[in-house]
Amino acid sequence: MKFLLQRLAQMVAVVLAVTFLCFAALNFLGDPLFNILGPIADENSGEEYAEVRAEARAEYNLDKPFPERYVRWVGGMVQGDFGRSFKNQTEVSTELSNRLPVTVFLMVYAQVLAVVIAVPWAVISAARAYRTVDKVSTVVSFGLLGIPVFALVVLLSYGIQLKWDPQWGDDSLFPGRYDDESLMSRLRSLAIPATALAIPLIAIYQRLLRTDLISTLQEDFIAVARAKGMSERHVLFRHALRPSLFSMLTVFGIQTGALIGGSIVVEQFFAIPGVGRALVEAIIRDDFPLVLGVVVVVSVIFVVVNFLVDLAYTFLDPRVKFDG
Amino acid sequence: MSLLDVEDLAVTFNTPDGPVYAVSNVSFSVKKGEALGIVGESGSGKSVTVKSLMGLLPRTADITGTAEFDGVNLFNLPSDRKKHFYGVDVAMVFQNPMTSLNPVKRIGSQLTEGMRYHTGISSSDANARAVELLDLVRIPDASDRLAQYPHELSGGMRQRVVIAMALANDPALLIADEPTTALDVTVQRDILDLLDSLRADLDMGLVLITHDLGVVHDRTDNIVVMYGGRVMELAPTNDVFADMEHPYTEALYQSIPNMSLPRGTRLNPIPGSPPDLSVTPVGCPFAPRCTYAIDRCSSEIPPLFDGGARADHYYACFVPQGSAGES
Amino acid sequence: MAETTAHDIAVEAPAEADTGQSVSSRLGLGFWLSVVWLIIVAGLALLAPWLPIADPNETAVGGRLEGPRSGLWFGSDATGRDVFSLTIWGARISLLVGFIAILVGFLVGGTLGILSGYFRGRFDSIVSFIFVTLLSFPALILAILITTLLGRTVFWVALSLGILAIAPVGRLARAQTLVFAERDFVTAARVLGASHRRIIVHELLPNVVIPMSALALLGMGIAVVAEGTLAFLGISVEDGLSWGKQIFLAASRRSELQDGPHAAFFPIGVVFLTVLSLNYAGDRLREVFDAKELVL
Repeated sequence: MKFLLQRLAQMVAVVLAVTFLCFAALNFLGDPLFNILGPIADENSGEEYAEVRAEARAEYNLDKPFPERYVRWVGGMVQGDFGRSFKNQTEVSTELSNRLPVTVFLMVYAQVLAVVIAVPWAVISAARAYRTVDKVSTVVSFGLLGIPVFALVVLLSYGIQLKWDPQWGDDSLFPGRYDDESLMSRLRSLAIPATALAIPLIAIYQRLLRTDLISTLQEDFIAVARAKGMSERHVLFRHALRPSLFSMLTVFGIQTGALIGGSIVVEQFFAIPGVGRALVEAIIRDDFPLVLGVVVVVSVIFVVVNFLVDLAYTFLDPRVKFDG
Repeated sequence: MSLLDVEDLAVTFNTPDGPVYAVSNVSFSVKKGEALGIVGESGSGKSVTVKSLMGLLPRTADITGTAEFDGVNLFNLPSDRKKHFYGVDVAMVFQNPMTSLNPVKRIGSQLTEGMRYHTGISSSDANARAVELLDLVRIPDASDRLAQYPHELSGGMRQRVVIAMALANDPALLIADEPTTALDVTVQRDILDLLDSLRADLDMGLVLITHDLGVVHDRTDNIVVMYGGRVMELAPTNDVFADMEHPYTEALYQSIPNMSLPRGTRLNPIPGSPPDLSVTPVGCPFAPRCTYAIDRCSSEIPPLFDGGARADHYYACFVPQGSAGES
Repeated sequence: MAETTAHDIAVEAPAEADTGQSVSSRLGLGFWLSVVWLIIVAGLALLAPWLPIADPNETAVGGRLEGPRSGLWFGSDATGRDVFSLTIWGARISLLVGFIAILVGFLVGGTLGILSGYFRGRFDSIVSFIFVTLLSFPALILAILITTLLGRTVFWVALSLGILAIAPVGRLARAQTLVFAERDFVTAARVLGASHRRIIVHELLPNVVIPMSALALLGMGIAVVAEGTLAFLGISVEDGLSWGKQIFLAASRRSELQDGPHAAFFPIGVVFLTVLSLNYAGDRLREVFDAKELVL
C-alpha cells in the first residue's frame, strides 16, 4: 500500500511537471496571445478581432502572473476545459473526445496483435533455443527492428493494397478508408495500420520474452515439472511463461510511448481520424490550443499506462506486495 | 526382481569445446522397497546419472547403455509411455526446495496438476488427495496450504511439499537428488527420516543422492560411490562401512565431520581437485589425488573387481585398502 | 550450495566463450560489415557536393518514375529527379540531425548523469526527477512540441531530438558512475586529495564513456528514425529533403507508388541498412563491453 501511494504521488508529480513544461512552452516561447489565438492575435489584424483578443486575455488570465495562470489553466483542464481550437473555434475537448477513441482503439488493436504473435513466437524460439528455428527467428526479429514505422506503412500499402489486392477499395478485405460502422468493419479497415504499428513491437517483445524464457527454463521448478511428466507444452505455457513476462511488461509500458509516435504516422498515411492526425493538422496550421490539448492528454495517458503496468506486477508475481 | 537396472550407463556432453565425459560405465540396480545411496563430490556424475534416467538432460547429452525399469529400457521409451512414466512410475525430489516450486503458482495447483494430467481425476478429488498427501508428509493444517504460495512456506516445509508432489501418483521408485543439502541442519534429519519411513510404508524403491556418507549410513541398503563420472565402489551399505576397499571411499569418509571422533581431531579434506572431465581418461580418475596410487593407476582404468569380504562388493581399484587388499 | 555439474557446462556452452580473443575478432564480422556500411553512407553524405551526381533538385534528369539503369542507379522519381542523388543528399540531413541529437544527449545527459551519480544527495534527486519527467513524455510528442514552438531548422529539430536522448543517456551515465565511484581507484584518488574536477575528468569519465559508446550508436539509430518520422509527417527540417520526406513524397500518391515503387523502396532500403547497422554495431559493442567490465 505504501509503495502504491508513493507511486501515485510520483505519477501526480510527473503529470504536473509535464503540464507545467507544456504551459511554460506556450507562454515563454513566442507571444502567448499569438500561441492562443493564432494570426488574429496581432493588434493590427483588424478591429473586428479586438473583442476576441480581450476575451482571450481574460480567459487565459494573461494579465495575471505566470504561476496563477498555470494553476487556473490546470484547474480548467481538470474540469475538461482545454480551450478552443482555431479551427472554427470549436472546443478542444470536443475534438479530443471525438478522436481519442479512434486512436486508443488502434493502439489497443496493435498491442493485442503484437502480444498474440510475439508470445507464441518467443515460446517456440525458446523451446528450440540455439537451434535452426531459433537462429532464423533471431535474425528475422532483429531485422524487423530496423524497419521504421514510416517505411512499414509504405511497404504494407504497396504490398497489400496495390499488389495483392489491386482492386483495392472500400469493399476489399482490408478497406483503405477508416470505417466505424461496426466492430468488424473497424477491425478490417484498421488491420493494415495496426499491423504496421505491431511489427516493431512484435520484434521487441519476441526478443525480450525469448531471453527471459530461456533463463526461466533453466530454473529448477521447470525440471520439477518435467520430472512430473508434464508435457512440454504444459511446461512452457503453464510454468515458464508467467514468471518470464516481467521484462516484456515493463517494455509494454515504455513502448506505449513509441506506439503513440507510430500511430501519428499511420493515422496520417492512412487518413484515420484519430488524435495523431488531429495533432499533425493542428501543427501545420499553428493551432496551439489543440496541440497542447493533445500533448497533455496523450502524455497523461502514457503516465497512467505505466502506472497500471506497475500494478500489473502484482498479478504476475504473488511475491510482489505493495507494502514496501 | 529388480525395479531398476542400470547397465553400462555413459553420458557424454557435446560442447563447442569438445566432449565432456560426465558419466562412464555406471551400473547399479534398485529393488522394490529398497534404498540405494549414490555418493560423491560435486562433479562426480551422480546428478547427471539420475537426470539421464529422468530424461532431464539437454540435447547436447549423448547417452549410451541401458536403464531397465520393469523390463523396459528408459532410454528408448516410446513417447506415449514416456508421458505416463515420469511422474507416475518414477518421481523425483530435487536439491533446492527454494527453487523447486514455481513461485507464481499456488501449492494446491502444483500438487494436483500431475494427478490431473496423468489420471484425469476431478479437481475436487485431486484437492482431497492433495490434502491427504500433505498430511502424509506431516505438514500441519494441510487444507489451508493449498491456497498458499511457495514463498509463504519455510524451506523444510517446501521440501515436504516437493516430496508430496512426487508421491502424487504413487510412484514405484523415488529419486531424491541431495534432498537436504540446501536445508538447515536441524531440518535435514527430519526430511531424511520422512523419506525413509515413506519408502517403508509405501514399499517404494528409493535412490538417495548425497555427497555425505553419513546420510546414507543407516538409511540405505546399498551404496554406489562415484568419482569423476565412474563407479569407485558398489556394495551393500553395511559392507562398505565395515570394509572400505577404495581409497576414495576412505578419503570421503575421513573428510566428513564425525561426532564419534574425539574432540580436537582434525578433519582430513581430500587434497587436490576433481578431475577435468573434458580429457579422455587414461587411468583411474582419482589417481592424481590418491595417496596409495601406483604407476598402473594412471595408465590403465581399473575395472570393477568383485572381491570384498563378501560377494556383491565391487570396487574399481588396483590397490584396495580393505580386506581384499590384505589377501 | 549450488553444484556445478557437466549439465551446467553443457547448457551454458552456446553462450559465447570468452577465450581471450582480441576485441576486434570478438566483435565479429557483422560488426565490421555494419561499420563499413556506415562509413560508406556517411562518407557519401559528407562528400555529396563534390560527387559526380546530379543536383538533387534538378528535375527531368530521368523520365517520370524511370526504373534503375546505368548512370541512374536508383531510377528517377515522378518529376524525373535522380533518386540516388536525393538519397545521398537526404543522408546529409538525416545523419547530421541524428549526430547532433546524440551529441546534445551525451553532453547534457552525460554531464548531469555523472555529476548526480558522483555528488548524490539533493542534486541527484532533482536530476533524477527531471529524467523521470522527460521519460514520461511519449518520445515523439515532446519533439513535436519543441519544433512547433521553436521552428523547423536542422538545429532545432536536432536539439529537440537531443532533449529526448538526455534522460536515457543520463540514467545510464548515473548508473555507471555509481558503480565506479565506489571503486578503489576513485577512493584512492580522493584520499590523495584530488579535486572533484580531477576525479571526474580523469578517473570517472573514461570509465563511464567507453561503455556508453554502444548507447551512442543505438541512440543515433533511434534519432535517425525519429527524424525520418517527423519528416514523413512533414514537420521536420523545412528546407531540403531528408530520408523521411523523400520516402513520403515517393509514396504519398498511390498511383505513383504503384507505377514506380523504386523511388520509395531505394531510400527505404538505405534507411533500413543504416538503422540495422547502427543497431547491430551498438548491440555487439554492448555485449563485448559488458563482458569486458567483468575483467576490470
